[in-house]
Amino acid sequence: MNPQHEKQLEASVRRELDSLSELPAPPALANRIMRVIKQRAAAPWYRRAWPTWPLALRTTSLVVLLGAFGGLCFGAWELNQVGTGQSLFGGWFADACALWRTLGVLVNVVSTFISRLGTGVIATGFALMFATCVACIGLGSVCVRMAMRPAMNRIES
Amino acid sequence: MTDAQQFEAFLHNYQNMVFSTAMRLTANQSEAEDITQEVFLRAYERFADLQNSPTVGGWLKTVATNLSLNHLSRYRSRWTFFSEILRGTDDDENEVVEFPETEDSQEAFAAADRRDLVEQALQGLSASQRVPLVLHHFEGLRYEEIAEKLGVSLGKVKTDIFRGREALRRKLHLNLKEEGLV
Repeated sequence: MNPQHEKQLEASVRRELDSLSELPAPPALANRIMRVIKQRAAAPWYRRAWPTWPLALRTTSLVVLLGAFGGLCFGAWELNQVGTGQSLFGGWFADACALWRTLGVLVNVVSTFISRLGTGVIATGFALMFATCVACIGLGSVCVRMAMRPAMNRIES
Repeated sequence: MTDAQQFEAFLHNYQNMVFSTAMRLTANQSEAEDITQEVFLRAYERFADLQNSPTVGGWLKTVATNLSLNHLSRYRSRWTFFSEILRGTDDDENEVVEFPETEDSQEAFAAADRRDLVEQALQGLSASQRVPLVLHHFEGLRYEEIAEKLGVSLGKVKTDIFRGREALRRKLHLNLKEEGLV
């Protein structure tokens, strides 16, 4: 590229582009946008995005959700403390209680197994898990980049 | 004046600017209309903040630019492949805008006609040349900023802009020597 030619070219094209004014938007566009806004505003609150809900509803929903989450955590903790759900609920939830007991036994077996392992083995296990996670993230990133590459190349080339 | 009326006035004030930004980047009217709509829907959500902000024009332009670039990178690849096969040549780079037959060429055009032709020539450029050129000339971005925004190398931006200018020169029959630039 000849620098002199480049400068002349830039000045010439700049003058042409500077002469351009704003393009007029189609006359119907403003009406279309206002119609969409009115439709959205007319939609009931539960059909809109959460951040656009009235403040009282947002606060209430947040409190309810936090309460439900806290209740679930507390319930699980209490069940664990009792040890067996059968004494609490009798025969109504016999299947669920059997499953709970089986899970408890499995957890005990796993915890006993882990406690018998040496610290080195546990550390190695954690290191392996960490390395696997990092490898997965890395592979995922490569895949995403490869998948997005054609789209970016459209702009590039 | 109600909020809706105020927003409508705001919309009328800025719609041409937003539409121009989207139109020059996408070179497609229906896509530019969709992007303009999306920009104003976002503006409506934060109208209370934007209404009296001195930087509202910049905010609208930035959102329009980003949405247009997202749109180009997301959707163009789906159909460009086929359109390039059908087109057969490299983006009509050598196509020349048809000027009406007149004796005293440039003087004969009214300024508005000339602007239309320049606009037409700009929109006829390939996306790879038009987008960096528009970002540089109309949005005032530096080459480094364009490279960062498009995720390409600085060299590529310089080359694409140079090629874009060359293509415009050919399309518009710009003669650098005759224009007293030498």
